[in-house]
Amino acid sequence: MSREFENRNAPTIIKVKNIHKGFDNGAIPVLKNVTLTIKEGDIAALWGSSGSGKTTLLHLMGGLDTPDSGTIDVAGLDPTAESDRLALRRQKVGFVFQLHNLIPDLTLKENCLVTGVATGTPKSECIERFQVLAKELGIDHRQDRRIQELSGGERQRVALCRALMHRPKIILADEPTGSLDEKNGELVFEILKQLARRENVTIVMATHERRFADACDRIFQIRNGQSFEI
Amino acid sequence: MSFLRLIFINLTRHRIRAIIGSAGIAFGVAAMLTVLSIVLGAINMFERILSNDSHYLVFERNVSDLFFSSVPEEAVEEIRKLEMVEAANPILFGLVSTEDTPVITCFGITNDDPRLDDAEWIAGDRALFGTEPQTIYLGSRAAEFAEVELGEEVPVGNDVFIIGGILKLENGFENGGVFMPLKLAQEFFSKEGYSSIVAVKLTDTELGEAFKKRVEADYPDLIALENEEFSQSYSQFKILSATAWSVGVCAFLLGGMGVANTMLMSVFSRIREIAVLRVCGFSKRQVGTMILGESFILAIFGTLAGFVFGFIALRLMSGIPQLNGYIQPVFDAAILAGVALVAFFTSAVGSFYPAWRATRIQPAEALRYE
Repeated sequence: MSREFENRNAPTIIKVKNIHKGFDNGAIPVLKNVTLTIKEGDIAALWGSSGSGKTTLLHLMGGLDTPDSGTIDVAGLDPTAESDRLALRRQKVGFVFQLHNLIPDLTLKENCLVTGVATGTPKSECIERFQVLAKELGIDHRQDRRIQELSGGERQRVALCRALMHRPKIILADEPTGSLDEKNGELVFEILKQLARRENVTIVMATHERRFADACDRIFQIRNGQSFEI
Repeated sequence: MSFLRLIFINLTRHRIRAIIGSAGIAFGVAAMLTVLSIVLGAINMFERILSNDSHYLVFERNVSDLFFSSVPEEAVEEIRKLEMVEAANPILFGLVSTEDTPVITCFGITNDDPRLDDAEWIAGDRALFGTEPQTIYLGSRAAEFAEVELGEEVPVGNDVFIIGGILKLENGFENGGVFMPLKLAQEFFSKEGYSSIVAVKLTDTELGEAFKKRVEADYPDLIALENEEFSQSYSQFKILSATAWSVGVCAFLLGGMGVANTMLMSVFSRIREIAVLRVCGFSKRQVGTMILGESFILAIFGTLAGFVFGFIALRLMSGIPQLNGYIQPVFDAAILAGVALVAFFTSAVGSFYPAWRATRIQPAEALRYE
């Protein structure tokens, strides 16, 4: 894997400026004055050790959490504003987590259609989209299986499918390969990259593994609560 | 997959929990339906005892219970003489006891009381009512309990009476009672010259107000109430009715707490899942609606099951010999609608807090703890 994509002329899609974030009312500072920009179509890695603040930064970008200070602009929306957060999750951003976070007892297909339920997208449209993605991800033959019946690699592919269902502009992936073995990890990462290129989706991936970071277009090292592009 | 289907799936994923939540509502519905049916059925029976073939009831003003009411014979005679009155039947209520049965309702009635003609005479001669000394007449259930037959002597209180007839009446209370000629009852209860109430049938119901004014003008100590008016104002009926609703509401409070507990457990065990739904674009309102929707469906199943349980319970109770005739379940649309409404209200209230908690789940925090 290598860095392979130059995207310098593309417009900025994520702009993080002077972000501060701490827990326990600021007693535990996690992010200190973080500033970074990511361009449309970038596959960017937030690389750092555990507890460095990668996940917190991803959560801030996706509007799952709010910063103590600073500004964030994601695809023209402000994730810190309550009014923009819902639109951000419904239209602009898809999430993939380390532990897939699929809903147990639902089938593979039902898990993917949940996004459509939230947005009120017509069922036929959702199913059509699902069939295309499921085929590309190689999980279409397991669509009526419950999540408990799937392997770890399959579950992560389902999570990826769910994240792409509403055609987001950005995928925020938090250690998507973290719970997988080496082979499955690389497979999921390659699929993620290929889909991102095909669907023109920007990817911001938090990872502690240098080899995956190296395979991204851009690397932001998160260290001591600060971001350094390397 | 639709929003409604998601709600159904959520319930079927935790069947035992859903069944327990629904059972709470079901027992509340069954309890309320049973209690209301029995009590309102009992009130209905009392009303029919009191208002047998009449329009107005005359009794002593300001008495807490009709057993304490005293209407003088002269008043009964004067009422009978009024042009607007077709019939006036005095009734003296009392309680008697036998060796085996401590409390039996006794009805002191005159020979022309319509219930004597309406009854099926299982034994004895209707025409002889009140013509033979020391003779009483038993309702069919009372005769069965006492295991006595026509012509036998029965000790009642400190006296011994002869069974002059056995009557089968439509009304369970009357079937379990003792009928005495009015004079005999007045002597037995030491209330010579008095009855408890007078059931008055008018020649024309339009004359009701005039009748009422006339009675109350001539006898300031008495009051005349139209049967329906009496039912609504009689304190005993009001107490019974209030008791029924109170017991029902208490049953529902338990059911509501059951729903609250079930839904709260459901929310707490799905914190991560709800956080994921929020991440997938569910709004707070959608999450709250989903939880309320789940409890609404629990309420639907609980209410239907409660109606079935309640109906079965009432049928079983009706079959118990000791209660035979006393339970006359009232299943009218208003009661069923009222009970269903209370069930849904309780369920909504019970699930409001869990739904609110669900909307307060912060995705980042919930996912971080995982």
